[in-house]
Amino acid sequence: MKPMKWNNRWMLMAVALLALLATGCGGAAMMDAGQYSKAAPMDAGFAMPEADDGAMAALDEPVGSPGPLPPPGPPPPPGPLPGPDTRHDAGDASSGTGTATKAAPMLIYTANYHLAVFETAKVIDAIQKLADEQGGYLVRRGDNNITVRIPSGKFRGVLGAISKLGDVLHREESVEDVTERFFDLQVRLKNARAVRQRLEALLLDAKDVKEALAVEKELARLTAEIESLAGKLKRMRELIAFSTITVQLEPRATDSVDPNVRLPFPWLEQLGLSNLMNL
Amino acid sequence: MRLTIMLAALLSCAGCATMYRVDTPPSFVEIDNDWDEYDYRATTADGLVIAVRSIDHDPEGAAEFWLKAIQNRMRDRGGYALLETVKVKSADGVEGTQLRFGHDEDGNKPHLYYLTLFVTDAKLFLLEAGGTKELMAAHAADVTRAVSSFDTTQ
Repeated sequence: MKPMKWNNRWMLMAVALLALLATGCGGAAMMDAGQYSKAAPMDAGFAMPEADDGAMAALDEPVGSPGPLPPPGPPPPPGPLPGPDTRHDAGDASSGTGTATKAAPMLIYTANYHLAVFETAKVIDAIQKLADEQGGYLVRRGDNNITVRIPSGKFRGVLGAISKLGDVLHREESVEDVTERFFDLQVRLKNARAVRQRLEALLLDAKDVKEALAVEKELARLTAEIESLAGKLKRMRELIAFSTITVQLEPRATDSVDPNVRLPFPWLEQLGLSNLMNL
Repeated sequence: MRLTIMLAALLSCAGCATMYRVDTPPSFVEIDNDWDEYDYRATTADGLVIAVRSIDHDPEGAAEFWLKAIQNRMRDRGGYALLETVKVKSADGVEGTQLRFGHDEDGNKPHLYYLTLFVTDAKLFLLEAGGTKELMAAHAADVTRAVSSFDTTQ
């Protein structure tokens, strides 16, 4: 067996190093300056780096926060929607200029309502129609429940409209701040892509089959990881862009009406074989 | 041997008494239960039962009203099928109606339940007869005899 050439050793070491960087440095180590700062106040907003993958580009819906959870009183106006117009150019993130940028926090809003209603089917239809009119969509509907997704900016308004469809027996609203996870995913995706580009360049310079195979193996692993990260990012953007509202419906408590007439003559109720034959 | 049973029922009003009479068919034996809701009841050895209820006619209503009320009760809330409606006459000439119901008891065991109504100014008389379909067929003549022996005036 021939000793490995120095050239090959350097190549393999480079592959290993790049792979390490791509997978292990999910966060700040590879984050460009000025892109995101945890220390920044939440209400100041954060820069939202431009989506640098195709899947994300397809989701250029307004993304952002419908505002904090409702305090008593009138609902707060929706927070800034970091759509394309509110995003900062990717150059900010990658140029390393250190420019402090602002964008909305990445918030996922969820609401679960229990309503006492009169005609369940009609109320479910009304909620579905409301979602359609507001640019949302139906996720699931059953005989007495419905789940819709609403553009985040219309979350508060739709909840108000739903509240008017019946008596609210129970309401639960939650917000999850995924800003850090979001940017972490973005950075990991960006880094993984950068590493893939370098690996592709290394592949072109491969001196022999063994070296090429090693690089290709790492490329395949990295590609799978990029797809996974892109999928997670896409899902997260969807959850941020569209708030989820689930409504459970119950008929209003009413006096039960016996469909069979019961006349006030006790002897009528005593008729029948069971009494007659009970000797 | 034919027994004639004189039965008396006290009217709740004014302390006066209303009498009626029904002949207990030979294959039946009268059951004397003070605790049940029947004014008269008799059974065969194999369990076919006939009975009489005497009910104050208060509030007053036409016979059609009471027949409809009974039909609704038996059909809508009892699951009984009205098989036949037969006009009958009591021994003292009062016209009555016999509602013949069918009902599956104990799974699919068919039973028959005959309810005969005589309406007088003071009383509603309900004559009931019930048992398995086979027994009702075997004792059909006895049931008919008991109904036609019924006298609302004695």
